Amino acid sequence: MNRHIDIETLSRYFLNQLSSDEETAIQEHLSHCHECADRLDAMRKLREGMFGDELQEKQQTMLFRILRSGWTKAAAAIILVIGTGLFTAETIRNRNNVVEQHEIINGGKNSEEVFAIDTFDKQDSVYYHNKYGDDFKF
Amino acid sequence: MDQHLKKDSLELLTKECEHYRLKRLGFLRDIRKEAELLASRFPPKEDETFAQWKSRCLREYYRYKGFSAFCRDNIDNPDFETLVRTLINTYIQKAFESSPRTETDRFLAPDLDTVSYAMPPSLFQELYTIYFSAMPSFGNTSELDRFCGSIAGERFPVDEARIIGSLQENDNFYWEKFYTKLRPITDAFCYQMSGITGANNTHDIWSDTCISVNRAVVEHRLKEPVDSKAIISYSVGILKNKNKELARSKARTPVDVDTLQYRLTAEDDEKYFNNPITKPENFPSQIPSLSTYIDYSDKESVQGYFVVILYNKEHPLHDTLVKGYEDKIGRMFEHYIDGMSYEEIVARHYGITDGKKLTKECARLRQETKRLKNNLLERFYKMLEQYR
Repeated sequence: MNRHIDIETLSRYFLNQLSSDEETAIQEHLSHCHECADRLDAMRKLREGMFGDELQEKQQTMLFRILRSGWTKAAAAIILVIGTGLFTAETIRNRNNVVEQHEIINGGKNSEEVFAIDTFDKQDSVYYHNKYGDDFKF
Repeated sequence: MDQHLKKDSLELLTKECEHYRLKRLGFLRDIRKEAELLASRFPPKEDETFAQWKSRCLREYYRYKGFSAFCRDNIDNPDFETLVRTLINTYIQKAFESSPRTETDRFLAPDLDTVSYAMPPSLFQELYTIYFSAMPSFGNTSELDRFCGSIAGERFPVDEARIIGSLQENDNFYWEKFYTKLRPITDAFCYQMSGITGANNTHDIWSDTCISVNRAVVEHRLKEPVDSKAIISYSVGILKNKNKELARSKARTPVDVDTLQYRLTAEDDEKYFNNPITKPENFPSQIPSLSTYIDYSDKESVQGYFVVILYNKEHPLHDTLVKGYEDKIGRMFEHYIDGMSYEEIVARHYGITDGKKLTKECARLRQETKRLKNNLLERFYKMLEQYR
């Protein structure tokens, strides 16, 4: 194939519509004809420019797309808000419980007493259980 | 490493990727790196022709990369299914172009289209289950390609009985093709018998005929055994009756309706079903090569065809596509094909090289390119609708 490839054949090559033998002949020609290779390259670049974003988007992994999506960010924000809310509510409930238990046991005498109970945890629970026995229910 | 060999390897793998969608399937990631690997591991031997080297190096490369196992692992991958469907469709299309027109196509398919060499989704699923359930071992893409070719050879053209059965089961795929077939025939009969022209004026008759034929076939009201000729004859009968009614209602003096043609005569047959294109005066013309190029079910094929029309100035549809956008397309080509930045294009066309004006012009050019892309695609899809 000494002459240049006509544009229709090159288009068919670009569209994968040639037979295997024809395809090989074109590739052999392209290996030494810069002009034809440049024209084919132009079509490829044009496709990349026109539809490249779409192709890249397809190639991104599902996980990446999920992580990048706005819904994920919204869900994370909601979880954060709910988590903070639950933690606060739980802390308040603990505080009320401890005050209530203390008042029941001491007959409300030490109502002015200050408790450091904002960080009430399992160890505290054990401590109060040891101190007050089974009457302390938490 | 020899630059020439590198370039050849890159072209081979790029084409393999385009043809068999290897990147999308996840078989390859970086084509350049893979091309370097191919060139270094499987260089041409002495006295080996290009074709021999291509065949050997791809065969060995696919074996090295474990293509066979990859296919087995991807049997349920929708992208792999799409690839198989496209490959089979390519062979069917080739068979259609090189075979004489079947009787079924003559009576049921639009001009230049086919029902005998068409693969509706339901048929593809059936074939995929039969041939790919126990995934055969494919050493390389050529073997997969040949296997798809053999499926196309064995199963196409589709039997008339099967197509009629699908029509009786109200399969939209075949009905849509038949409705398209009826459109120019309706125009022809309306023009000849009632003198009505124009798509708007004949639309009601056409849609009424489509509904009547559909009901008759689906409700098994045609005399068994039903064949394609019986369906088209029934349709023509309805068309003629409708035109007779129209002629009678329009006539100022009584018309002898029996003098109007009624049956599908040999003359009709020759005129409307033996011609490759039914094309009386004023009928919409068709671009002969269009339907042979595009696989409408494949998005990449449609996009590829868009690029071909846009780039190839000799293509019969190029002028229609770019009309009014010539200058903008020139600038878009400079950006996409020549790789020029927006700044360089602005400097070249408007002589602005710095300052706020440059920034503003670049933003405008970016917007222009984006809008142009959308406008061209919109126009292209509208054009396709005309020729489908």
